[in-house]
Amino acid sequence: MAERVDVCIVGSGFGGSIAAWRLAELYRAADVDPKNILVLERGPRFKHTDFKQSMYIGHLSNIYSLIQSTQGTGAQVVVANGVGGGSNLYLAASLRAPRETFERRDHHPDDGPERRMWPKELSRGALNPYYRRAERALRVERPRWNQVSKSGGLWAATLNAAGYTCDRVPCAIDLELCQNVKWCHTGCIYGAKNTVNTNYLGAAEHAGVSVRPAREVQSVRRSTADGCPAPGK
Amino acid sequence: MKGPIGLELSRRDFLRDTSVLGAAALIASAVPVAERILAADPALAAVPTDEATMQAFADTIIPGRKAATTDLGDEIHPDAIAGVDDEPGAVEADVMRLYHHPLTGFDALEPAFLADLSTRSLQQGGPFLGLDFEQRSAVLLQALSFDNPDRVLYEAAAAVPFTAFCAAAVHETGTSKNASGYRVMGYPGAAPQGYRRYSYGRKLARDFTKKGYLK
Repeated sequence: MAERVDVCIVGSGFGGSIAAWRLAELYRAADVDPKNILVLERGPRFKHTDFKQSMYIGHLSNIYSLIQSTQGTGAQVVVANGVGGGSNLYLAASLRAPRETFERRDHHPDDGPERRMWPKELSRGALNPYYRRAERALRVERPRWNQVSKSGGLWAATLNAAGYTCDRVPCAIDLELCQNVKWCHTGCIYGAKNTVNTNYLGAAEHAGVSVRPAREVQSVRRSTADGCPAPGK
Repeated sequence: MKGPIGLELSRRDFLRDTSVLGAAALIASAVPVAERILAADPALAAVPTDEATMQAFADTIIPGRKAATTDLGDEIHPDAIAGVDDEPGAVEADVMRLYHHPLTGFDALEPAFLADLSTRSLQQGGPFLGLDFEQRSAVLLQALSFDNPDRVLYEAAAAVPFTAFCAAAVHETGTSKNASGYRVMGYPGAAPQGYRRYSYGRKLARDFTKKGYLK
């Protein structure tokens, strides 16, 4: 059964959800209903109460998936499975990459002259406004010392005693809901994590974008249907 | 990586990879090796599972105390655990349930793995189950060394004891009460009540106790 949409986004994790929201904003600015933006997600939709503090293999197989390359010695990639993708399972540490990351140079003697690994347009300075945007959307906050967990505080004190500096990591976590259990990687059962379901994707759906779980994309081909532009045009 | 430091670093990388998530990927990576071994001798596929030898292998990876039953009440073969440790190891932590769990995928590798292990054990003097801990360790050190092009088969087999022990992957809700691995590690496990008030609560400490510990 064929269906036509304006845009089909594969995957509802960070990549897909941010694209979905920014497109929805553009559509609304142009007074067009975003309903023809479709997000397809291989995994199911989870409520935070569906997660468990468990590494039981049955539970992990629901929330993670293994993508296997069939080509030669290709990589095996462990990915998140579910609406919101990796944002359900990541630890939400939200640090801006330091300037040195972007300035790093690569040098393989048999590979040509030394070169900057990132395009020169991508510097920490150039990305700062986008970091700010993402931090606002993800509701990133830096914990106060009375919100830092005991193990974190002891670690900081140890570093300090050894002559190193240490500070609190900004997190995309609601620190009022966080219970300091460190079971982030199997999904937060308290709903404390600011997953994309609670910002980008949630907002996109609210604006009219369709998100369909349990839909795995298996192949992508150019359409020959009427009205589709011919190759090269 | 050559030399003792290089080898040590590589072993640490290996340990990091043997998490629950890494285990499945390692097992998938080992399939081509297993297939090659079976293709060379198709009769191997019909060899029945050898619980005792698998337990002995797992005990060599994460050794434990002598025990008759696992956390979940399954039997342990009397010759499997060498008994070089005085705390529970992988076998007591129900590694066998994880080996045979359909989602682990290890059953497909088992015949080829046992055949290869058997060949290597004979070089140390007999079937793996009959070797002492030093001899079992020698077999695995050779099998896991970078000189062995088939080492991924052993990495995959070794990932399972780590996963059973360190991640309580056989328990729907693992805690230090029901999962020996968690208990040995001192890790409480699932804690739905949380640790709400368990905050360090102050800026970096600069005071020391009389014994010299940070306050």
